[in-house]
Amino acid sequence: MDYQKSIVEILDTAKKLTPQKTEVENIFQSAGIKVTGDLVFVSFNGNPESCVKTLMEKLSAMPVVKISAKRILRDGGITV
Amino acid sequence: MEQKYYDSQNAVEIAEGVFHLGVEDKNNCFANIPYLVVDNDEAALIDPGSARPEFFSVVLRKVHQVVDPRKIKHMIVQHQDPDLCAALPFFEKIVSPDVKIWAPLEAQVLVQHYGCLRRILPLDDGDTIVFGKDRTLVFASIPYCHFIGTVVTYDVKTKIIFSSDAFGGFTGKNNLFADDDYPVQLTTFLGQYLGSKKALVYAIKRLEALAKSHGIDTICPQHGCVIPKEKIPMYIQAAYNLHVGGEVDSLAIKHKIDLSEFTENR
Repeated sequence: MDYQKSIVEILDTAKKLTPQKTEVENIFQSAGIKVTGDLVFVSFNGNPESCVKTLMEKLSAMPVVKISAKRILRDGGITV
Repeated sequence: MEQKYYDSQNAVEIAEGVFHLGVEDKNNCFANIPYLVVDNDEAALIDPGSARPEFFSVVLRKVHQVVDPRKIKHMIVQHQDPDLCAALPFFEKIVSPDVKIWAPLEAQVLVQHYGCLRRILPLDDGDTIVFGKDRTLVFASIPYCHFIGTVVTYDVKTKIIFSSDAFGGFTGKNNLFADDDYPVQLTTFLGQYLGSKKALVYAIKRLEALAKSHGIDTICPQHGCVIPKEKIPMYIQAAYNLHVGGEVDSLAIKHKIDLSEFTENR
């Protein structure tokens, strides 16, 4: 399972769904996933699986992004 | 020059007598778009919208811009979801006293609970409504897309299909027409909200048949962006390619429920 690939796709999709980049960036940072202000993936600050699990909990604050993330993780064979 | 964006102030005429009354829901990236069809001295309001004051007030303002609400002779609800028809009781008080309120046969029993005083009249596949000067709306059922009682509405004069949730998308922007981001926006919405590939394929084929027999110039979904004629083939293909009902797969894995013999949604 390629966690980084899925995170990159979630970020790319988020850019196309919402203009609220700062909110998206903050949620990823709070889940231990470092991203730039333009929503480009930088690194995981910890175990990627744990980071993704935390991300999905925190993304409840942005339902549209979470809805898309569910699909992308599923397509990537990642179950959280 | 073709208008590219809509706002909270002005209705936009997207074809002869067809007005986009969209309301941005920026927080949820989820525009709600009622449409008003006006012909001579009468009008039909399609999917009147939400009951939330900040939504209803925008739609009401736009209706007033276009027509005296008392000219609205028909209110059409394409399925029962509150974002598209909870405003019915409010509009009922200000539209024509002899307005007819229509909803799909199977949605009728649900729509009544929004509190309309009038009986909701049933719509079924192939039904038509004529108003104004022979303005004809034809209804086509697209069952389970996403509700058993879902209809789309075809305006014979402008060759517009009001597609309800079909071809809808999530978007936090206020562009009128589908842009390069719309395939992702459509996939995110329809891919998660539809449960049956068979139902989706039926809906697409029904629209393709309509396009072949009568022509479709524009698809007007209730969420997202208007799809102009030149982009329709691209979105038809995108819809065919959608993987729907995937949430069931995810939860089946999570809860160790074996669904391996069922593959219809791929």
